Amino acid sequence: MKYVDEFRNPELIQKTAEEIRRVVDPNRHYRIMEVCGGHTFSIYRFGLQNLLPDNIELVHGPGCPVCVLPMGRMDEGLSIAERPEVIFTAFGDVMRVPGRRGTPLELKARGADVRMVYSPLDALKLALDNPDRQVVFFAIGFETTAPSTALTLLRARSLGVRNFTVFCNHVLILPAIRAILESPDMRLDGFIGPGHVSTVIGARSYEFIPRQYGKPVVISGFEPLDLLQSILMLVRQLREGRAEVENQYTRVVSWEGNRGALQAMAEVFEVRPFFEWRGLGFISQSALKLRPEFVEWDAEVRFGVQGVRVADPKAAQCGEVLKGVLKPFQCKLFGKECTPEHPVGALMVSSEGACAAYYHHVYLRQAAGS
Amino acid sequence: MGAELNGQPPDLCTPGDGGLCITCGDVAVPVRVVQVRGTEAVVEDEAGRRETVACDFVPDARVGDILLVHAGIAIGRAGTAEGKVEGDR
Repeated sequence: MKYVDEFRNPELIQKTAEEIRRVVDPNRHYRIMEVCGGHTFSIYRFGLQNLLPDNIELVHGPGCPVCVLPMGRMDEGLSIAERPEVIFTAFGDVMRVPGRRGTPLELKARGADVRMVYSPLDALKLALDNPDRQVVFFAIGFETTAPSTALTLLRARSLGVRNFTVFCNHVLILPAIRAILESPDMRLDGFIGPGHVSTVIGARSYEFIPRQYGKPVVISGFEPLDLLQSILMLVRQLREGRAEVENQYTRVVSWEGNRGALQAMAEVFEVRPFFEWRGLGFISQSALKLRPEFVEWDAEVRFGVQGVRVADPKAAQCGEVLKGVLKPFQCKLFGKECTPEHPVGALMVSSEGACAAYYHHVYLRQAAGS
Repeated sequence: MGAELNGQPPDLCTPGDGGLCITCGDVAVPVRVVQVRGTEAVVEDEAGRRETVACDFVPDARVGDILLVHAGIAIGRAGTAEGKVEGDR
């Protein structure tokens, strides 16, 4: 398919990898964070680290919305799902995320009406088809996903649907990057910027990173050649002493973003004063909630959500992995108590989680080869 | 409304089993527009699977455009008509 095949061309990939080796300064170490979980998945899937010189280290960032959702929010969602009048809907990724009393799938096995949806619009359709039930959509995701929730709420309002609510867990990527940049153990040299979040928010949004923190950003696509080109662009910037926002993913990402999507988000959501990120703690202005005009469709209001805080299992070191201080395999639980079949920490749940991606694409292969 | 892929619901996301999270992560799927109906478009992915997506955020989408779809909603475009989708008829 156009836009896919040419970005997996082995010759071009090899050539780009050679160019990286040529440009890189052998006397320094490069720590580059890929912010987005989709990039983490591609890096492991295609074994890109193996094509890079040893002194380029890729650090996996917080860009998996499932992974950063604190367990307390999961518990609150599940307590809504347990209500007999509720049809609880969520994306497939959420279905295996553990709360204290199990996952949505386990809750379903115990009799709750839990359904997987592909789009929040499907949840709205369920509400239209089941007027005697309360349909709740467990909204999760970054700016890539928030517009779909916004559009669904705008439609719910215009259709006058009263048996549909959203439990909003949308988070914003830029405050998370800022929190990482402000972290005392921050040792990063540059960022591979998220591809599809940027489709919505635009490349311009990252300008604060070079301006205020002196770090380069290259927004990248998801194919192997995209990522290698982005790494090459970052290394070139570092080699030349530049710190700029560059856009490798120009076939998709514009400087300004998607104005319609941003307008819909602004109409429906407001920024929460603070929100807890699993592994990163509370980050101010980092998440969205429904505006007061949409209170009728706000599950937190309709079901009186209290705001429970649940500490992560102490032994899991998700926070250190999320900040790039530890590699997945350096966590004490990795591959032992914590596996994709029985995840203890959230990074092992989603395929975009750094630990699950590492487990499937590196750990199992190494185990099979030994 | 987006959930139907050749009449079948999408597979349950199986993390790590080749099942990249296409819904809640930062992943969008390139698809080609085969029909536009108001604010909705019928689109086809590289495997020839068709679905209906909302294109409120890409209001000028036309047949042949390559759109990026995330959670049943087009969030942007990845080019225009020269994009050929495998399974083209």
